[in-house]
Amino acid sequence: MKFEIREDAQFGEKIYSAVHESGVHILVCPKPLFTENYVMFGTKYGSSVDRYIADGESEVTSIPDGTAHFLEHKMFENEDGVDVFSLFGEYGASANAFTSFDKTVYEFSCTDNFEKNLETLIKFVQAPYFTKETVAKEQGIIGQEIKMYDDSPSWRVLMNLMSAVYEHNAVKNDIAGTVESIAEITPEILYKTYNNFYNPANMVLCVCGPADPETVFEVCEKTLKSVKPTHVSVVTEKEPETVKQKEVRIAMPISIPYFCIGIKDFGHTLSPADKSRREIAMTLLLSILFGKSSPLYKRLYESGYINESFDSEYNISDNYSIVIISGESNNPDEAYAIIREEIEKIKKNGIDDAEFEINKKALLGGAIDVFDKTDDTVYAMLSTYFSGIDFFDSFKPYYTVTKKDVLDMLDIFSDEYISLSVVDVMEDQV
Amino acid sequence: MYKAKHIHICSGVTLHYIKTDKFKTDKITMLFSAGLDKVYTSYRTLLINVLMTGCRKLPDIKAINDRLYELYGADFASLNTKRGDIQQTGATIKFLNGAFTPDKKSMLSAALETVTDVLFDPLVKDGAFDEKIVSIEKKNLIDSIRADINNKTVYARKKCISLMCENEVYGISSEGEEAVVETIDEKKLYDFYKEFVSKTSLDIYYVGAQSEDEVVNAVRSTFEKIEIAPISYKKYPAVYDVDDVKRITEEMPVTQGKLSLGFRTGTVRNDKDYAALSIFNVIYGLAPTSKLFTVVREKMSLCYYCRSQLIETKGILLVSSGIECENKEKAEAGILQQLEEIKNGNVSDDEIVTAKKFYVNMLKSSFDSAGAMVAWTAAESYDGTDREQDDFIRDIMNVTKEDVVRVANKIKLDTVYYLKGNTHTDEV
Repeated sequence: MKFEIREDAQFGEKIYSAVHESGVHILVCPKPLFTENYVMFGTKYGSSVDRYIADGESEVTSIPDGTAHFLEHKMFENEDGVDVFSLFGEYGASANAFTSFDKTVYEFSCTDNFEKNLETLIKFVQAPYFTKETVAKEQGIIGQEIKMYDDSPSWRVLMNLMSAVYEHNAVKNDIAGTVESIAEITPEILYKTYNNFYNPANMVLCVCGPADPETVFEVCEKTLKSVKPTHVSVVTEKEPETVKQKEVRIAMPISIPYFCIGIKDFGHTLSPADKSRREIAMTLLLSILFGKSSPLYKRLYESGYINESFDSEYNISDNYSIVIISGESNNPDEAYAIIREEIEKIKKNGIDDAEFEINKKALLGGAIDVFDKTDDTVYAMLSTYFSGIDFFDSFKPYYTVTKKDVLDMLDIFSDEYISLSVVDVMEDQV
Repeated sequence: MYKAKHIHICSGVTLHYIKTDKFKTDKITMLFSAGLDKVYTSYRTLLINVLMTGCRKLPDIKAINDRLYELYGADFASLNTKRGDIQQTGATIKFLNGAFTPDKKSMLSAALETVTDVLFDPLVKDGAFDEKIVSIEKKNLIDSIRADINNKTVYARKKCISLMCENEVYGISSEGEEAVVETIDEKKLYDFYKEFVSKTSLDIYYVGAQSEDEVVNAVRSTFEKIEIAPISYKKYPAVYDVDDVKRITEEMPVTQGKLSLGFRTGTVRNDKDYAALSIFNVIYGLAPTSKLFTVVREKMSLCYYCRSQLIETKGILLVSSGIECENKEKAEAGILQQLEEIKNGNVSDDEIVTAKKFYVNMLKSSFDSAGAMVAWTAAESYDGTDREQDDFIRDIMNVTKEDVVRVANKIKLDTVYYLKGNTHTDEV
């Protein structure tokens, strides 16, 4: 396999990349001083797809909520009845998988027998095997996983926010689905979904650790199967610009209310390079507005309306983009009012130069940190690949972002794009 | 592979220097050690929280964070953990190595100074801490003590341990107790502080690329003006006897029941049998190839998680699981049955080999984490030993099936805690 090498002099890091004939992209970041190799093999398909037009068909196929996650669980079973974990166990690797709104990722880490484990990963992700019995058994296990999340206030407050912000976007559906929706899943649905979305052209394999890149390419060369590329179009309904619902509240048996503020954004419709720039400008704005060095943080903290859990983030993928501000508060309504007040203040008064520079500096330092953990590096490689940008290039906007870029982000901080989700404390808990 | 070098800085202060070129960041951790105590544990927790909100030179959260942002967004966090019978409180800072900053300047001294400013040069007015800060942090601490209940998995696990160890020093929570926190004020806390920092033992851990000389000199010059009289703490032997199995059920309006089983193993981290117990734990419920995962989760389809963990300092084995309420008896029987299987020698050679590989992989992967290096060094120091992981890996490789069966047969069930759901959550 032919490969390319890109080097970043400032970070002292290299990325080796190649494309297998099947279409799978392979990225390797060598870390000769490290002990452990971390590998992720992922497909750009997650829970936020609920309808699509399958390859060679013209009708729309609907899939039950939770299918992507269910499929992830079921990939761990093989035709010969051998559990995939035991195959990794045999060579001392620790394996796992996860499903998010926009991707499904299979991963392992190991310090020995790297080649054997890489083979195991590639083989099992390319060998789906589902039966009625194994699907039924999984419904019990995932049913308990769903119930575990039902009792988690941090998860409930987030998912309620998503359904308040979005009218149609499937990102509002719980990643694991519901007990009812997963009951509809059959082996046929899983096979069809697999064949359409686990196409090699939709997948990337990323490695970070002491492994020799050429060894990685050799193992991929002999293990990856070539499959005809599929053409799938995901069907989405036009999402209104404004939020569906301004506020959503539930109560749970907890000690302190949880809140989540969501600001609906349409940055995901931009080109990959503009998205990457927007992501950094928005993150910088959030740091200036809500970071621990901001006047707002000090005001909220000192008035006792937030604690250390207060946080803000910007999520942007192909299907959605949203700003989320979250925390625990004894008075979420007052915290919300103060947050809106400070947003208006910054809209009126702008951003101080010194404040801009110091936040930019902090953000850059935090970003470089990604190279210190192989799992963080691999995940960043995979995510930037799916976003359509080069991993090293993804750092560039940290140096070039301007104050105007940041101020432009304030446009979406407006009432019609904002929802509030609260989980209150249930009275008479016990 | 790495080895910590232990360097005496001044009375009461030891530097543990770990050199590595792997990372782009350096990490400095400072930990005070003191015995767990029903009253002073709360004081120490509140104290570290108050110190982190401001010091004389950096008088509020914003000032502290401005300093951190200047250091390219250094990560600065307080620490408060329980290790066996002691409480360790302190702070840790992680900052970019000078080689990777645009101006190529080392931030070692500035980072060290930030930590020592916060820990040793607090904001004091008229012989007391700031009243407002103390009252906010008291409230936050009480909220945080009550917040255990917000994560039912963690809650059930903690509850099981505290019930199991209610008559032991280890049963004291490192977070503190609401009733004690209520009684503390800014004056009492400051009086406590003066005593606390003058009579203590402080361990400083450095992990990073700078030379030993640079680090030692920087630490020595920072500690020039600080005087500490060293103290020692008491350690109690792990409890092994069980009279009757304690069974406690608590009801709450939750969807999923949480079952926690606490066992006494009679083996602690520096015992000869610890390697065998570690392998037992992998086979029983730590790994996805374990009996709890493959039988109770996969075959019996009873739960999403069912796993075991060891509390190494106290020889406690804890099994946690989230289950459908009607399946409680089935799950408990399943969990106990798998232990019986191991006791009866129903362990294959493959299981032993796989468990060893799993464990060695876990140990070796910790070589890539600065935090794990600090944790290993701190655990060794608590045990009064100075082993390298390689020594322990050798012990692991020598474990036999007979060893695993023998340690399993020493295990006794002590406590069964069950958090039972009674209603569904209300939609408002």
